[in-house]
Amino acid sequence: MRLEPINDMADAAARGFSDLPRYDVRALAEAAITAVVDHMGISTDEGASRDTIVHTVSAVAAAMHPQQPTAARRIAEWTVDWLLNADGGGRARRLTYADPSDEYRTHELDVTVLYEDRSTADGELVLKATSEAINTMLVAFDHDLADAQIAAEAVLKAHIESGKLDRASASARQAAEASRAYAVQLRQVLERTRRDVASVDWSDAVPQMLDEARTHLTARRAAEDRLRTSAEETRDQQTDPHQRATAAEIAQLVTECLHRHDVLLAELISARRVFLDEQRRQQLEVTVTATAVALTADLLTPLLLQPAKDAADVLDRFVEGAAGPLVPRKHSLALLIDQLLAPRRDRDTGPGDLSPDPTTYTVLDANVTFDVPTRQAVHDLLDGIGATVRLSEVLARCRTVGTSDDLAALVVAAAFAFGHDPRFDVDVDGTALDDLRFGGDDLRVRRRPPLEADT
Amino acid sequence: MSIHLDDVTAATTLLAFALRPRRIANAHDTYAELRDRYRNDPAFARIVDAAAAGLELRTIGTSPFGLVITPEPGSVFAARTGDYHDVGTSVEHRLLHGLAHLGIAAYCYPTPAALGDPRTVRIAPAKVETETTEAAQRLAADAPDDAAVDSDELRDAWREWLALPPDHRTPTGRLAKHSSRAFYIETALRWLTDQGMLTYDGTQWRTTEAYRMHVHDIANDVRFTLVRSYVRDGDTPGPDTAEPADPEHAATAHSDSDDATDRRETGAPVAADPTGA
Repeated sequence: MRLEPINDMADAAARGFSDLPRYDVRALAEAAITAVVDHMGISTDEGASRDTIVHTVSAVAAAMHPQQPTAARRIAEWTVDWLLNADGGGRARRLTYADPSDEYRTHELDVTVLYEDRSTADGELVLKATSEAINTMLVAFDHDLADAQIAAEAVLKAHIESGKLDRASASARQAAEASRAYAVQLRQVLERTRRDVASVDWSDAVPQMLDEARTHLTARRAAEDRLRTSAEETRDQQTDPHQRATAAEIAQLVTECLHRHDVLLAELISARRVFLDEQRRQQLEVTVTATAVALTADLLTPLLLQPAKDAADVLDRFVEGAAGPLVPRKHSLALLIDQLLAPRRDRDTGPGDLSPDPTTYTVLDANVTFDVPTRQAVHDLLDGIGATVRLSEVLARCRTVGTSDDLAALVVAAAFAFGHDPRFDVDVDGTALDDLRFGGDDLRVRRRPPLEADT
Repeated sequence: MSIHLDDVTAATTLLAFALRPRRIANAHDTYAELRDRYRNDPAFARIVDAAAAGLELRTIGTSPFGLVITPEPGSVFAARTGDYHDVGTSVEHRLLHGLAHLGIAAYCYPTPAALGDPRTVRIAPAKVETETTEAAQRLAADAPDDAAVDSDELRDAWREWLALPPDHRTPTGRLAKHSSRAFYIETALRWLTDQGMLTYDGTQWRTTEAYRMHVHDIANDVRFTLVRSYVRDGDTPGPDTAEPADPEHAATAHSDSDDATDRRETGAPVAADPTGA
């Protein structure tokens, strides 16, 4: 059942990409999942960006049809989005099936292969694979993974020593697969722990597993080190270019395993701490599911049935709670307006009268508010600013994107510019703003080099 | 217990971080350190909670991203619908904005299990619109034809929602103000993004962990409010509400029989689909 999305995928690819050569999308899916798993640490919250994975998958696709590089990128993007169920909003795919163990009644199963998560390090989106996907796609071993790994290495060693390099290369790949599967198994235990301490047996089974894993990995590193040496020796002794390349590939694969095991070992050492931290944290946190509300059934439907006034009152409270805290900022805006919209002094009129001509200048209401589309438009605009730009240019761009109220845009732009947005530095050089509607200095807005995120 | 001034400074510094929901604790040493102290040091946590209470804030909990706090009703930090740009305080506008917000939350977290899942959710505005409208249409299907009332304030909320077209754009392709469900949904999405509750990368809205925690917190609160209002109205939402003074008890009893809500309002059982709840 868990493979269903991948099977569907092959059909969909055949239907949707009639203009492309036939790709083995199953292999592409496997490459995508493998790449994601490779980037998932075991005790840290890591993952790979979508771009990284697409890049890896396009390399595999390009190998299938080397003459069509753009097609490879397209099919790679499509594959990753399919696995994410991007069309379905990233939610699980719901499959229906007849269950033979339940008199062939129809059952539903939610299947997720890849999903997006935020890295706890920086909040960036990363891709992760579900345990189900990993189990189905990669972990085809029913037996002890640690044993599988030792076995794979023993075979590899025998092949290298007997000089059967083609067979050795196949067993090196198998050994790499076994080491990846082993990493995944460890990761799953720790992941479950992070989600819910009570679901894993930390008093006995897990500490024992961690100890065994540590012993196992230490032994693997020693064995792999020897294997690498002998693979490298074999490589250097070969005169036949094909044999030489094969030996080099084996050495490369063994080095990868070695590196993966180094990382694993380091993570294992911190694993116990993960548990202790999580235990403390989860004691403090409310168990969410126990009291959770079904928003549609418990809130939306009952509120839709209420009279408008009653519902609006309750909903006000909901909005207040869902929106989080709003830090009042208005006073600084008023200050900015004073500074920015002070009309240009006309030197010809002399010092006698500095007050603005009411027919030329409109006094701004300091409490003016801007709608979200306007703010977003200005925000987007400022995001596009390169090294240095003048306020007059920002204004000109505001007008070209059709911001509904360029007055608002000016103020918001200036608000960003005047030190309220850490991304920008602002100064003046005496140039006056040449504009039909606005007066003042033509500010120079400069993007700051990124020093520290979000300061 | 004796309190050191340093602790007060540390506690309020943590609150200052928490007031900026876009900050990621792990990207900032001081923030990460204070958050961990909040988790691990109960005495410090009490100081933080007390300082928050004085500011009319309440701590919801911690996440890998930081401390999550919510304003108490009426707090200077509370974001009111009236703060919405260009939104009047009329019942109609408040209702439609509120429904858009609840629609978004219900789209992201339709079931208790979804509300407990910390993964980020992608939000498709068109699908929020469809799902919210479908919930309203299910009620419309069971409502008597002649039940519409003249007073806007007494009209059923779902009628207000269905009275709007799904989408209405100006000739330049922008959403015309106040004239479609899409406008209210997109306005809410942008506002939540400004608030740091959602992220927007130019094509896709996504939830943050802070948003999930806030929704979870307020959803319980609002459900109690709803139940209390039934009890106050002298209504009998279920057979087990012999103790109207205890809203929590009433809430539990009530949520066990979801259809009670529907019976109360329409006088007839409504096949409200709890969407797999």
